[in-house]
Amino acid sequence: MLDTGGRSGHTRGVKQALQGTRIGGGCGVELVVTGNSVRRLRAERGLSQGELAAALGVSRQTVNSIETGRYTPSLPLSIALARYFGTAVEEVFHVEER
Amino acid sequence: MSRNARSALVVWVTPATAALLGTGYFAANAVAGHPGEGLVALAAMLVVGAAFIVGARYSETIRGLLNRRDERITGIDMHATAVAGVLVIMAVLVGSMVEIARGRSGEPYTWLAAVAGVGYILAVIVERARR
Repeated sequence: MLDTGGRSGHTRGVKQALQGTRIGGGCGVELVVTGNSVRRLRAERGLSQGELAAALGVSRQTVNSIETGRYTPSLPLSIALARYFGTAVEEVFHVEER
Repeated sequence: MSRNARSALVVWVTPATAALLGTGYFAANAVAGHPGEGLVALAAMLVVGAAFIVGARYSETIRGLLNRRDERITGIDMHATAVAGVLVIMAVLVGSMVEIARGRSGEPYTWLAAVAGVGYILAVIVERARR
């Protein structure tokens, strides 16, 4: 599973997982972000992309890129998104083992 | 310094850099006895700086390049800078080869290539220590 070696190993592992990179050294586990629920969560709250962007301090283009899966945000922005929607990062971003 | 004050200052880094470079070109041309050409260079760089400021009103991308608050646009900026750097390094390498093929020493291209190589190694060492 995730490489937890070192003090910041877990954080590094999660960040790498969100970037879709291979993690875990030689254990052969690769986590890939396959999608996210940002558009649904935003729509449920009746927010526009611009309003969500303003709340997060990013551009509307970035919210659109995240929603369409063209851009995988950093761990801090992922957590900010999850906190904004009152849920966990794993509920916002769908990760698959390959 | 508050985050807002810092953001307001960061916005001016690129236009100020353009103005500074323009001033440098003006000074260099003036020293060489071509103040008129220096004024043209200064004006061109001031136009570039002003284009960033005006463009930021209409473009989220330009705004992001200036205020550096959007991690995606900052990442795009870093990637674009890296691509531009690679292109310059390739041009320097080709330039040095052409000069050597012409029977010359290859300078200043060889020195520029050395600066690029040493700079890259130093950057890797510093980044490795930071992360």
